[in-house]
Amino acid sequence: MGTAAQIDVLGQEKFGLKTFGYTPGKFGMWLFLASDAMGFVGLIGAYIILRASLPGDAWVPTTGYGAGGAEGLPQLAPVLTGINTFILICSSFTMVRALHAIQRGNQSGLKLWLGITILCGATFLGIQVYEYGKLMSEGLHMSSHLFGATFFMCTAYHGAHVLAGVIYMSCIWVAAARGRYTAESHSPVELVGLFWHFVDLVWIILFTIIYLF
Amino acid sequence: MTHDTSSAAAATAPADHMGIYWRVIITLAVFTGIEFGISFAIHGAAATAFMLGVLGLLGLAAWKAVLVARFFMHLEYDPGILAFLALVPGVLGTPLIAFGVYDGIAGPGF
Repeated sequence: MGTAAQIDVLGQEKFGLKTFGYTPGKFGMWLFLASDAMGFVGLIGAYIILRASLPGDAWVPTTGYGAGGAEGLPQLAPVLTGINTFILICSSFTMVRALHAIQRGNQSGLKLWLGITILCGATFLGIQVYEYGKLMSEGLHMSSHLFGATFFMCTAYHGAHVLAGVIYMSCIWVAAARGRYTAESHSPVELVGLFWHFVDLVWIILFTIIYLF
Repeated sequence: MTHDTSSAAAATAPADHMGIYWRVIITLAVFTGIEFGISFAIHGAAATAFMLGVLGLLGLAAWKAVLVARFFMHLEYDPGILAFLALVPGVLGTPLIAFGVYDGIAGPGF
């Protein structure tokens, strides 16, 4: 019990500090997510607006580009990315299972489910890197066309969030392996969960807008 | 090393939402499958059908996002100021994008 109180460096749980009824950490994370979402709104907005102004083949030209210089831009692979989307959605589920476990004092469950979540995030990144390599070898670059610029900006900005989430969760996993979290004190697990669900939520929107029409 | 804590912790254990989590993940998977179906169906379709399909896809995506926010991010159980914070980007961003799309379609000089 003493250990749990000591790692609560902000004293949020020990002293019962609250901001609008929530711990400062939780309120701060939501504030960060709301401001971070505005960044995604800007990028997704730019993608939608540019796409609306370039209807039909003008958005993904079928001639004048490509590796040979005369072909069209490569088409995206929605099936592969759909599998990736499913992996990310599943990782949100494993994340809530990790939180569910530590809320009941099950540290083994926390490590297991958080570990699976990290693995899912790393797999998502691996598939995204593979997709980037394939598209680039077929002639799609940021400088190729507005489509290339907006596609890479939106997905890479999200990918950077996934990478940050994987690193963040790995730090939490190491702390969990050292037995830092208990049923009474596990705010960092809840906060990393919020961040990870946000990353999943944004991808749900991005995937639909970029890959499905 | 497992530390299954005391009965005191169990007595104050939070509500068990695991059943809801299962329903949410299944719904998300089914909706993603439906989205794929719509996506293939509207490929090369007439303009009206395409627009209807796009609206359907956006509606499903928004619904999925709401499910994640409500149940996985616990807005369902933590209402109030957090829900307000979550709505701000959408409330500010939607008119911005709508105006931008209109501008993009209407072109310069509208």
